[in-house]
Amino acid sequence: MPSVVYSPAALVYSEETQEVTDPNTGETVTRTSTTEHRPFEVRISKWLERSGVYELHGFVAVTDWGQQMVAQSSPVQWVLNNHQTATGVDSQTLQTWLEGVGAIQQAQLGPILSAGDVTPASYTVTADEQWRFDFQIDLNGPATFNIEWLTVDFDPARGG
Amino acid sequence: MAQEGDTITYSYSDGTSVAEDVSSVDEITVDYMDGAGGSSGGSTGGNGGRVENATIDVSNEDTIYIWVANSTDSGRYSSNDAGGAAGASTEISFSNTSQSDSSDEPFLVGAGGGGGDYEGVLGGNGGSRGGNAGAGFFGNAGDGGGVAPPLGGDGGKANDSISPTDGDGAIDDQNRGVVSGGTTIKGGGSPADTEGEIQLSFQSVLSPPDPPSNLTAEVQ
Repeated sequence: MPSVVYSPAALVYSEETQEVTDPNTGETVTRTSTTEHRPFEVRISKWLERSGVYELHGFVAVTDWGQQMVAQSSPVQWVLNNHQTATGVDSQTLQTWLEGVGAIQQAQLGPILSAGDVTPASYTVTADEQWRFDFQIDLNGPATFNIEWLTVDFDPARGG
Repeated sequence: MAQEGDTITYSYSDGTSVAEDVSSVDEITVDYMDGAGGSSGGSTGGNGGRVENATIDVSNEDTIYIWVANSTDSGRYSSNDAGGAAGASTEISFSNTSQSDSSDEPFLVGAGGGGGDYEGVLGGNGGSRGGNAGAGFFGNAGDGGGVAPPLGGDGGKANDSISPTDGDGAIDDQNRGVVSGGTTIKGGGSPADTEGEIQLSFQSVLSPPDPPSNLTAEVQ
């Protein structure tokens, strides 16, 4: 079981349909799947313990769907017209996403990252100096915290 | 940069590698290295494979590349999605090039677990770096993740009671002479629908060379 477990909030959905045909009989079944979408994601790429402090190194990245969204001439309308949205996700939320994607693309992470209920912890947003290392969170022990629609549950004892 | 005495745990990084600078250490102990579990569909996916307690000599290396897999087919090597996605493999390599480059074969792999079937219709995929996929109701097996060496588990089997197979771990030094010890545990990695993880401990074991004893100083 990994030491870092995520619980992302479901925000926007789309449905995809695929037909599968038996090559011998020609019988066909229709497969429908629901896909969740988020404009960007936050990940903890690694962690280590130094002097009793757990250093969690993380990064943010715009998803393919996020890039598709910002490429639209009317991104907000495109989402509303082509997707189902979770309760509480409205045009204002979508406008915030657009600003968040822009912030990531300009390596200005502060506006989109919030420390949530990290206790006790210090929280530092660093420059994008290394691959997959955009920010660092220091913890004294196991913690559950939120980073933009994503709940992160860190427990070093769970790994291994 | 990894330092003497560090123990670092690596998590799933969006299907891409994380580079670790090992120029200041000589040896790495693989505490554990877990492949991802397979995705559940109509049946529960298989567990990933595990490698543990292997030692890697990095005295002649500056960088290692680490891929940690997830259960929805994203890792360094993964198979296609037909039924439940196979767990991808977790790997360590000295090179960051494409997995299709045969000279870039990893030397440690925690293979992904087999994917569950899709509603009893489609067989799940074989675990990445894995073996054969299970047959579905129509005989539409998911794609096998198998590439040499065969390291993974079988895929899910639709419409019957056979569960997807667990992935296995593998130690393949590729004749480099850098890996020693270690054990593999079939199904010892991450459970179904769960990402893999790697924990490495870094050591400096080589002493600096003794200075020559016959040096003399001449003062002019």
